[in-house]
Formats: sequence, C-alpha cells, structure tokens
Amino acid sequence: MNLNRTTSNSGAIEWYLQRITGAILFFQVLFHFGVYHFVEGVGNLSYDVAISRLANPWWKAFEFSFLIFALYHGMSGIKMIIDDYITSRAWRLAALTVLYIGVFTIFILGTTAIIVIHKPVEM
Amino acid sequence: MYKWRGGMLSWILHRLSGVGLMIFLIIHIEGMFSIAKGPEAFNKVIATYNTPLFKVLEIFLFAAIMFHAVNGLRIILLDFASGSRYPKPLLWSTYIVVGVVFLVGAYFLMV
Repeated sequence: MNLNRTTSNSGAIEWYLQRITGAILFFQVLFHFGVYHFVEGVGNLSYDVAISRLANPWWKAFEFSFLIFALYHGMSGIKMIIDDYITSRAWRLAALTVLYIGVFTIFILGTTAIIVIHKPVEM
Repeated sequence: MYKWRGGMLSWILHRLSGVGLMIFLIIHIEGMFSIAKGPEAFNKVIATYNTPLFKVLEIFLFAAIMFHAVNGLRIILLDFASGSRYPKPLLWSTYIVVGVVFLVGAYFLMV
C-alpha cells in the first residue's frame, strides 16, 4: 500500500467543509424537495411558473446557493470514494480530472439556468 | 475516521445514496438547463415527470434524500455534538426517523 499517495494536504479542511455544507444542505434539500414535490407536485411545474419564480431574487439566490453547496458536497464525496478505492496515482488523477471537468460543466449549465436566463413572461 | 461500531450498514448506505444523489443531480441540472432553450423544451422535460416511471423514481429519490440527510445529521452529531456518547440510540433513531418520514411522505407522493 502506498501511504504517500496524497499531497501535503491532510484533508482536514475538506472534512470540515463536508460537514458544514452537509448541515446547510439538510435544510436546503428539505425546502427545495418539499416545495417542488409536496406543495406543488413536479408534474405541475411549467416554464411560466419557473421563470416567474426565478424573477424573485430570494428564490434565485436560494437555488444558486443550493446548486453550489450540492455540487461541492457531491464532488467532495466522490473525491473521497476515488481516494479510497483507486490506489494507482495515474488512474486517480484521471478519475479526478473527469470529476472536476464534469462538475464544472454541470455548474455552468445550472448557473445558466438559474442566473443568466430571465426572459420576461407575458402573464 | 469510520470506527464506530454498528454503523457499517449506515456507512455503506450513505456512500451508495450519495453516489445515487450525485448521478441524479447531474441528470436534474441537465434537465433544468432546458429552461434556457425556451418554453417548449422546458415543458417537454416537465411532461416526462408525469410518466409512471418517473413517479417510481421520485419515491427512490425521496428515500435516498431522507436517508442521506438524516444519517448525515447523525454523523455531524457524532463528530461535533455529544452524539458520540449515545451512538446506539442515535443509530436506531436514525432508521426510525427515516422510516416513518419516508412512509408518510411516500404516501403523499403517490396519492
């Protein structure tokens, strides 16, 4: 077993951030899932409803912070699994590269959906 | 790091649900990106939410979220609060809370 496979970083910061973002996500996911799945029902969502909701800066800020915390928490969790199971340095680097590029791409898509697009809707 | 006893099943379920939720998150964001393409594209995605397959997936999603959220809270209580003094009650109460909330929630998702 290669004991020196990690960098000088002990992972303590990631360990704390995983718990801090997890605590925040606990409330965010219950609110998000509660509104969309229990109060409204996801089948009742529509373009007009979504656009007018995102016109509200509080909703926009909520969804954007939820996106960031969820993607960070998920990325960090997958990184832990990669670090645990992939012992080859080259393969671990390859897996992490795919992970980071993938998360960055999804972050751009999510940000575009939440922040950039806010066409006025005739109601 | 993961040395507490009796929590092995929870540890495995936490990882599995976490990977599942990350896969869902990618699909979900990709789907919601359709809002940038306009009303037709977005409403087409929403229409798939009304299919029976999606209804079943929604129940699984709810189960994964509830387990990961409540078990994650348990991990935080073990690490930072006095939860490490009561690991066993904390462990079985996690399963009870997740089970009860899931059953009640799943009922409302199905009706």
